[in-house]
Amino acid sequence: MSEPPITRDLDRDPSVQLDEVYTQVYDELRRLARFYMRQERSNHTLQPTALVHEAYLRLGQQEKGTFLNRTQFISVAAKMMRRILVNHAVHRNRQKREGTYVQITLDRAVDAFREDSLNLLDLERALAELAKLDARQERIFELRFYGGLTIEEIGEVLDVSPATVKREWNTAKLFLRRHLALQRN
Amino acid sequence: MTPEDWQRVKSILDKAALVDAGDRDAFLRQACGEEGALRAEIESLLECEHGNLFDEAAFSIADLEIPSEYAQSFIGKEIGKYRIVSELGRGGMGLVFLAERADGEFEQKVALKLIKRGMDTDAVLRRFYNERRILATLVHPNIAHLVDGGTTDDGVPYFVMEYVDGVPLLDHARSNGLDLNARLELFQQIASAVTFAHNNLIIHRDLKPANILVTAGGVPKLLDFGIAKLLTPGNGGLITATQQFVLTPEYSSPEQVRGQQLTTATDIFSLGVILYELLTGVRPFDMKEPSFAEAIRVICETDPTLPSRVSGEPRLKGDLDNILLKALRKEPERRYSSVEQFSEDINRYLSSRPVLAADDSRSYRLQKYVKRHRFGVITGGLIFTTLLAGLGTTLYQARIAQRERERAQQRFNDVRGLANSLIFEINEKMGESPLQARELLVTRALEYLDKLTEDAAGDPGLQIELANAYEKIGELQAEIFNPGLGKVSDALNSHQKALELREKLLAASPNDVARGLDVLTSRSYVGDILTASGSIGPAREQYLNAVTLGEELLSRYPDHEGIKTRLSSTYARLGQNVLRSGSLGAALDYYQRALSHAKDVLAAKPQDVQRRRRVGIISNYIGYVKMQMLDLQDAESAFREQKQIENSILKEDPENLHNRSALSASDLWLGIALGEQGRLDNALVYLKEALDIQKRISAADPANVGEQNSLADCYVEMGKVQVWAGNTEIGLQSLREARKIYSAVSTADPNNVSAKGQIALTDRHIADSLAAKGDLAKADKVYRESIQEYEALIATDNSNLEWKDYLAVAHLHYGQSLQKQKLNADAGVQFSRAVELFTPLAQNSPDNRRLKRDLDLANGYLTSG
Repeated sequence: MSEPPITRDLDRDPSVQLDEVYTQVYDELRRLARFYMRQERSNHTLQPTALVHEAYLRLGQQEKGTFLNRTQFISVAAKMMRRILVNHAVHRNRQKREGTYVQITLDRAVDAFREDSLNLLDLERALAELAKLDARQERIFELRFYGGLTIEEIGEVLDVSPATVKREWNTAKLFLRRHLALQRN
Repeated sequence: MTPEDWQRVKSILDKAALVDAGDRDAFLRQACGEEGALRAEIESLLECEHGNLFDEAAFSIADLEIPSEYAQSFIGKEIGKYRIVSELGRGGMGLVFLAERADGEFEQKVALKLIKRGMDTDAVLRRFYNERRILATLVHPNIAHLVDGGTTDDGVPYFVMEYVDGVPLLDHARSNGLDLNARLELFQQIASAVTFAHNNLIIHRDLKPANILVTAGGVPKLLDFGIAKLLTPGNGGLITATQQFVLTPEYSSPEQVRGQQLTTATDIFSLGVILYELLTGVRPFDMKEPSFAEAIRVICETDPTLPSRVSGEPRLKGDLDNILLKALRKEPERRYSSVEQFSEDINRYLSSRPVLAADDSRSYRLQKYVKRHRFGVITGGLIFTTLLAGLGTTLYQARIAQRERERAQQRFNDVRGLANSLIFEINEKMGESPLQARELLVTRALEYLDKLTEDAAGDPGLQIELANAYEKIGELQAEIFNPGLGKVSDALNSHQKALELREKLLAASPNDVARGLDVLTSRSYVGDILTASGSIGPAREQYLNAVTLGEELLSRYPDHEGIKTRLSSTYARLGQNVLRSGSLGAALDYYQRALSHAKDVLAAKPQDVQRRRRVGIISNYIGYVKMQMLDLQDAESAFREQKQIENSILKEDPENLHNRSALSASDLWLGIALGEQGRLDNALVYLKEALDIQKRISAADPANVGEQNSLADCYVEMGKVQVWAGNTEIGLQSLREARKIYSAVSTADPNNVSAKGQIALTDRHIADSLAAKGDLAKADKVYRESIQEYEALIATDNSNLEWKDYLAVAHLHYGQSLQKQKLNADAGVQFSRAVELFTPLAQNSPDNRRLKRDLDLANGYLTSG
């Protein structure tokens, strides 16, 4: 396999454009993430759910700001959390080489994320391949896996029927599972 | 791979997901054809079907929760012209604060409603604006009105309402010790508020005592139009409850819990519940558990106890009982036509004038009986939904090992999926095509059950539930689909699945009497379906197996009433079965066994209506066989036994139409038996009674084919006996009336074979009457018609012995008429045709003395002529 496409730092990539809302949410999340990382001396732990909840409350109580409804917020947050996690993973790879260690705790899918079963960076590569074939499927995956939205809620966000979301989600899973299996072997 | 390739791969994968593993190969061969690369691609993707990677979200940022500090954070803040003082309450979507004018213009307390952070989905926002708009149009002394509205600086919408400083309705009535009249007057004010809303085309949909506060001055105020709905003229004033997720089940109407169309009648029902509780202190519908299934069961199927009986308050008896029951009727169109009318009836009571509700309570009972029967299918559907919902809940709540929990959760989700499908997909279809909707219902349910059956192995509790569910579906299928429409095999299939599961369960614990009884029941059902589809032999085998098992069980549990009851009904079915192939003696034997078990069960509970009626019905069967054997006095006493039972049942509940209908049937048969004995005057008394009762029943439900047929049956027997008694013209009139009714049924329902057979029979009786009158030429013409009608029927089903029998009788009588006209050659043809038909029938049924008598008669004419 050639050079993995995802070892770039998304934060510094000028090709990645964020609109105002995204920037606002992302900034808040990133700020909080850094804050948490500093709190722990060694063995840094990142708890995404707590992070997102706090960001949500902070944004909600701001004096000024764009008013987002719950579904909108979650769909933005899902994209952002994916970015943060991937950037952490990239970072971690560098730090590993330098001897320090950052651990990411994923509340729900701890087992799936064990070193040997799912590598976040491998998943990013697989997602990049999927996005080339069908960008909507990548988005569905992001909302479902990183956002925890239900099939119906995704249908609402993307304005398609739940049945369509379900079908696309199923085939996306097949595509990604196979991709990951091939990468492992 | 290009995006286009992937679209194609996806579409094949979508289809493959619906194909069973076993059929995959064939499917892929067909879908991919010669394209080996495509097939390899698909196969490698399908290999990844198993496993659970990605089935759980990485984390769940979706269940965001708002801590109570959030509400606290508003205290003291200013929103618009108002300062927040304290929290008054929180609903599903909003927070309500007590607030006051911040600009000091004047002192004013208000309630300020705000959407909760995190609940601001589009649907919630829509509802919020809806409520604000509705409140703006409602300015009435008994409705908390809108004061102001706006949007906070960070874009959250809010509105401001009149603040009602009061206590909930029931607390107010209780703590002030209000008497009956004071309570009614309080209620009248509430009714005027609801009337005002209705006049503004708004239905509240969530009326309950907690939404009605009474001020210190005793003025009730209606709050919370959160799920109220504007009736726009465009949609015909009808809306459905399907979008409505927020319900207070205790105060909901049947149409509301069923998700049907809602009108102002739904508020009338809720007002009825409120008044009931206000006057008696208890709710008319008592739910044992807060589940959807329980709500449907209680609200749609149970009748409230008479308010006067609940409270022991004698002043409620009569008018107020009637008023409340009228408001609480299951059918919206049978309630008061408006809140105004409801309220007016209470005024009539208060001023001691006669109330409207009293007049129609009698006719209501009659119509209710009829409705219940006509909507049997729909009720069946509801029972079924309830059953499935119950199944899901049981599983969910069952104490299951931690490892099993996930699977149970999955099942629960499946049930929820089914429930969703019921509410949306099927409800929609119900409007355009009820038959399709029911088919869909059954299909969805079967998909679900089949799926569950796959992993039910080793879980007897689940297997029992599944067998019960299959049985229910089987009943539904048999009920929905007319046996003539070729869907019988589906019902058979479901009952066989139930039987298969139950037999396995019994084999695993042969001493479990409940399981044995289940197998017995299933076999009996399978037998019934086989019978309906004309497979008499296989049906008999099922019944025989069932009674063998039943007798064996009974020998071990000699006092088990369930076994005896089931045995009794299975023996009765066996009797019917052998009767169809002409074995009178065997039928009589089975009927007598059925009777002896039925009497045994009755002895244990001599007042039980069902048990008494069962004895009566089996006596009727025995009477029928005795008639065929020409044991007319035995027949008469069997029918008398039935009539005596029905008389006593009717005496206990004289308004019950079902009881009247049963009495009519016993009168009819007693009349027939007396007529056959030549005791014509006696016969006419009973036949007249039967006809009178049946006329009333049929008039109440003109669309019910079965009742119409029964009415015509009465006319036929009446006509026959009148002719015998020499009242030929009256008899003919009666017979012609019968023929008219049968023809109407047959035209409306061409598949109704029984009506066709009755037309042929009636024609033969008409011909007999014409012949008795001496109008032989006319009689001959009608005999020929009857003969043609029977021949046409036999051409469709050669196995029906009754038709052959009656065809032979028609030939015999036609021959007699011809002979009277000295047309001996023609008569001879008819007699020999009769002999030809009678001979095999008589051989087949040696105990049938009536047949033998007719055969001898025909033979006699043939040899002498």
